[in-house]
Amino acid sequence: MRRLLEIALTGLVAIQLHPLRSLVSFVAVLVVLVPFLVGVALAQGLEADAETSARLGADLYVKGSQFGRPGPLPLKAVDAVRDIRGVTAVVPRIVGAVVLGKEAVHAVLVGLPREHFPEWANGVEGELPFRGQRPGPHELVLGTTLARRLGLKVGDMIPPFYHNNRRGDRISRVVGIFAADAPSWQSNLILTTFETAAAIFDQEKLATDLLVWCRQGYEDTVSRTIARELSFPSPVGEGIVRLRVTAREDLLALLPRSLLHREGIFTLHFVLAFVVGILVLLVTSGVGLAERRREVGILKATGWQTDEVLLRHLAESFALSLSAACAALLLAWAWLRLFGGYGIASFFLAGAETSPDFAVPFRLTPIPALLAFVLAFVIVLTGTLYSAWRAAAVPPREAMR
Amino acid sequence: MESRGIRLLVVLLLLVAGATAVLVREGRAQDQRQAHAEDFHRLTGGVGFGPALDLSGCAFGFDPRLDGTCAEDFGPVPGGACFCPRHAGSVFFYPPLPGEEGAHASPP
Amino acid sequence: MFLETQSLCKFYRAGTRDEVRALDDISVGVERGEVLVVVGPSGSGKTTLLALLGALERPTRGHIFFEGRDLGECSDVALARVRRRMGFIFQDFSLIPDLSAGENITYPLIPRGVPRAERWRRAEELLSRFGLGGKLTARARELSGGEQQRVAVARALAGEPEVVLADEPTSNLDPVTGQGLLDLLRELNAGGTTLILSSHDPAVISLAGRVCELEGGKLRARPNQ
Ligand SMILES: Nc1ncnc2c1ncn2[C@@H]1O[C@H](COP(=O)(O)OP(=O)(O)OP(=O)(O)O)[C@@H](O)[C@H]1O
Ligand SMILES: [Mg+2]
Repeated sequence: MRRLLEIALTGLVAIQLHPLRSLVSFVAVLVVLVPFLVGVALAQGLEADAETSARLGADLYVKGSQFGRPGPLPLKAVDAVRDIRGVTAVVPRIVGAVVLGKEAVHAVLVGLPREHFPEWANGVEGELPFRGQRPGPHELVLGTTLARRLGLKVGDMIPPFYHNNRRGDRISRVVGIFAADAPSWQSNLILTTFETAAAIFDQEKLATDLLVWCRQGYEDTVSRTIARELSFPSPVGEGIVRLRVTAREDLLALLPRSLLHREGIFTLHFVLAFVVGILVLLVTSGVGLAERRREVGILKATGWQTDEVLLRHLAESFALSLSAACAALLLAWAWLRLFGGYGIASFFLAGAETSPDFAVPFRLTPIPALLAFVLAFVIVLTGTLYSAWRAAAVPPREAMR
Repeated sequence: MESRGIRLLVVLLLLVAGATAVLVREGRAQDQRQAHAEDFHRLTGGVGFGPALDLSGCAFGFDPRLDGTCAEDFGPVPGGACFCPRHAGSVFFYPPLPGEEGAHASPP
Repeated sequence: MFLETQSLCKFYRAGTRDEVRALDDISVGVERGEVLVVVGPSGSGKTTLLALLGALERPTRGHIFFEGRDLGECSDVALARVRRRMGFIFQDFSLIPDLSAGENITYPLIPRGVPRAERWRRAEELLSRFGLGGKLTARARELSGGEQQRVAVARALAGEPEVVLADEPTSNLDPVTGQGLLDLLRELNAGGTTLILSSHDPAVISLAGRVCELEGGKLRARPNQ
């Protein structure tokens, strides 16, 4: 055992014997592994946030449907749904797209009834829209990217950015800004009251969706009842609006089940890039190959066995790939945590800027880290062990030439 | 001297320790993030699911609760999968909601 | 015979037009504790013969017997075991250039299971004996030719071999150091170590119990008894 450990230790020395070769392998592994780890970490972070979003959202989401396409539904639906057996709460919501400022910043506007808001929330800096009736400007909570791009702080006033011919345009006031480490969807969000949203979009008596909470076990029957039995005259006066339900389970079923499931495509592409890249690097460039071959010959001539020579190379590859995988993990972490995913977050989050001003969702978990190490090990090993074996399997003097 | 091997072993162990520390730390950091996520979804009623950060490209990539399908689904592309040209390059891909695969799905 | 060859042939690029007959039908042998000196002009096949006797190469034809065992039929592992009982001093020293002198000497001892402290004790002892006491941690590539040769000798002797095969061991040494090495070899031989040397040096040939003269890969004369 001690003998084997000492042979393995000579593998660590071998890393330093061929610094250029070791450096090339180390850097090649880093170049491939860092984006891999960052990509998987972002994907897993996003996936975790998506799951949280589904779990913490309502039990059922009801939206209107005409010609098989989603559309708004009349507010009358709120009472109709509330009357279904097993429903505990129904909240109408407006979610829409608005474009703000000279720069045409795209924002997502979400409006919910005043009563829905608590007095205070952890994830918001400043206040929430007032719960009761209060005259004055519209009250908005902004996302971090939006606030920065529009140059707004808590307390700032915004001149009217919409047209409502019936009720007139009003100014708005920023009452709060989302915390930067709230889920990334806050970045371009405007949260306000239902009436404000209705006024901004100039759509009376309509909601884009209903949030429905049910007693446990009633989700299926409630959603079937809504989809089958409820329909309303179209707000435009002709035809009818049917209702379409999305349950929490439908959403959760969309989530990839594991790293090797749908992101498997991603992983696979990386493995391929990996294999090709490093094999090409190690085998064809053959950095220090002649020197190493001679070294193997000398070791064998002085009494080393083939398996002992291979153990030395195994230890060398192991140490090299382990250190490269750990360094890659540390770099990936630094990139995501310390530099906020600078440059790479925009690849994975559509609409994110080069330097995002919100906490990029990511999860560094042991499994991808382990996978990264195994990949590095296998590749470095095939690159080194084959040539080592070729040198170690021939008589020593042949290898020494 | 053979101490060269030992020195590298120490560096290696430090790297492994660093990586382990990062994994442990990130495991813990999730809890705080979770707390803020809870507040956010309680306030908004559950907004956001996909890799898009606004509705300018496709609503399905932002949240399939708003639109259950993407008409221009690209499917897998090298390096991942994406919804449509305006939301390319994501590794977080999900299929349309059941029953909404096509733009003209039959009503229930 | 302890170590002997029978009709040994080593052809390089055998079967091609530029076949080199480095050794052709050589039969020599040494008894345990004897000294065999291989002489001959440059290119006559001395190094090749020593390499074959040292189990560093496989013959094209013929046999090498070590304690009656045919090395041509031994497995790779068995050959490695045989090499552990031998010490080979290469004509070009063949040190690992980026290892220190001490590491070069101790590396062969690692798979033999010699404990670390003992390895380094032997290395220090041998080096100081050759007047290289201060060079233990010097890199092999930074040593002079003569210094490298002495490190190579120390490496061969550190494993306490039963047979020492030395390919022109004194060629790079000044007369005084060369004489020191010969004294050491003589001392080893007195202790029962078998020596197989190749040389042009009359001083080395004087050690010989048997002399084997090669020319163009063939035996020139029967080894004198
Ligand atoms: N790998 C090889 N391929 C082809 N020919 C070789 C090879 N090795 C040696 N030879 C040839 O075999 C012959 C014997 O070589 P060897 O090295 O044994 O000579 P030597 O007697 O040791 O010479 P020197 O005194 O110069 O060291 C030479 O003609 C040499 O060119
Ligand atoms: Mg020679």
